[in-house]
Amino acid sequence: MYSGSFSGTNIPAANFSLTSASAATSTAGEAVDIVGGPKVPLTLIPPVALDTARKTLQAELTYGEGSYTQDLGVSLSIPAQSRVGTYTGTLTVTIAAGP
Amino acid sequence: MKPPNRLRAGAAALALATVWLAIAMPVAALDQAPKLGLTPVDHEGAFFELTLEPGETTRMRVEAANFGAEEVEARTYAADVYSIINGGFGADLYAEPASGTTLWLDYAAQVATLGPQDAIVIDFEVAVPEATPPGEYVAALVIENVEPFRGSGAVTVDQVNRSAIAVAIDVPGPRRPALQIGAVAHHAVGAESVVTFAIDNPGNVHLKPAGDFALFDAAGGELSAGPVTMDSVFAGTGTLLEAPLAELLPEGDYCAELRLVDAETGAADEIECTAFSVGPAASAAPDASTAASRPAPLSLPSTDVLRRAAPFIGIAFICLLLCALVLAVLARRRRRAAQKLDPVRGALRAEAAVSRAWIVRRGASAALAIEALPGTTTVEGSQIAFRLQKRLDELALERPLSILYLQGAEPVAQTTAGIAPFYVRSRPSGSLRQAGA
Repeated sequence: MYSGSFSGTNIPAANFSLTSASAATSTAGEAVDIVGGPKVPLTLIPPVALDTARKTLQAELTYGEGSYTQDLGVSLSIPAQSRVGTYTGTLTVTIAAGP
Repeated sequence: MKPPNRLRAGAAALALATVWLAIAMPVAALDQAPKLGLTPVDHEGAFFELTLEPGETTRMRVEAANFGAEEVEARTYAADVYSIINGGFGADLYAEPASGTTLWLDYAAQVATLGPQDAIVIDFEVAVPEATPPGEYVAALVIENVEPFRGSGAVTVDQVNRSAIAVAIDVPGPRRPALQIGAVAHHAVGAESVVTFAIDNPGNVHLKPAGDFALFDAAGGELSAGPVTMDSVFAGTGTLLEAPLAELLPEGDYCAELRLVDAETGAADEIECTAFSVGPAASAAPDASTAASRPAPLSLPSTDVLRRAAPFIGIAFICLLLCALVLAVLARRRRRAAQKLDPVRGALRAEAAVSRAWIVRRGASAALAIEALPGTTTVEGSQIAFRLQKRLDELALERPLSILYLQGAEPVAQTTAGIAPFYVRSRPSGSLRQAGA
């Protein structure tokens, strides 16, 4: 979203994309398992637009009980002739447990 | 082999230090990001799994906790579940209208201030409406920080951290698994094309389909093919399956085929040569008017941040130079290591049914994971593995490789997750019969 004094417009959410997702690194608790995870899903092949939810890490049943870090590369395409000002986006990160 | 590992670790540490120094202020603040979670109380498992008859009501309890080191104003609410792209559990954002299964939950949205390591227990009811048809249903409970965690700079990303757990409800009765593949479309992401398929689950059972995808040009020539795997496509929902390609498709007409099967239920669907077109806008070469739209790194700092970070930038520059030197040495060693793999590649190319291979390292040992083309039988795969192992033994490699034979998307995913393959052929394509084997 744009805020400023030069009548700028919002940059579409589809311009914000995920460009890379590293393997998870354990910082506490259960170690990363090559089969059970946490691991990057095979279905995630960057770059992907982040105007919709994307899964970047998954763990099988009984795996992933710990703390982990993952580096995510992101990129923003700034349209030509964008106005001076502050552009603010909200990135929602969800840890989910479900079937 | 300790020296290369130390060099690699050193290069990584230098690279990390450089990134840290260049954007020191925002990175340091990430340790204070909210860490919230929901945990079922008196219920085994990480989420709720219930079996309820139509008209039945049950009371449940969930703990909402702050696992971080800072006080957080937390919001918790019930939300609809949807299937995200390529399958998987998605929970609607706050203020999205609730519907369906979410309305069975008597879980009012509430805000609570939680101190570090503080938790509250919330009671709620689940009431299945009378005359609910049998099947699998799901809703979500969510907790999140009310105030976004603020970023900084001229291009700002605020962060909302959510934890979502499912309330999965099984209403007993006959199961009707069903799967439908719908419209095919194309769009470009950067310099790559993505072919999408609409996937619907009109049945009453959650599915995890997998299968094969193929892309053809207007003349019927196969351009790409390979296995596809989806995560959960929830009953009564639809989503998209994305098949990304390595390049941007030129303007023109194409058709795509997709075959999907859910192994557990047998629900399946397939489409034959479904046409789509790539227009001129997606394939145009960059010109002056579009040159300014090239993707920009998100972490460009503002002028104020640059002034504050000035003392660190000089150190960062020195670190960059050292990084470049270390990486150059590593690249030279990598080229030499790749040359040593040339005999292995030669042996792989002699096997017409092998499409991709990975070097998978497990501790001190290493394995060569191979994937065969679709249609390769188990017996043929075993014979391929036997011939390759014999060939590798004859090569007397400095680091012996064992063979892992893989076929199908799931075994490949399980063994080689996160490891990039090298293609024995330009792209896996065709079936065993088309390869002439």
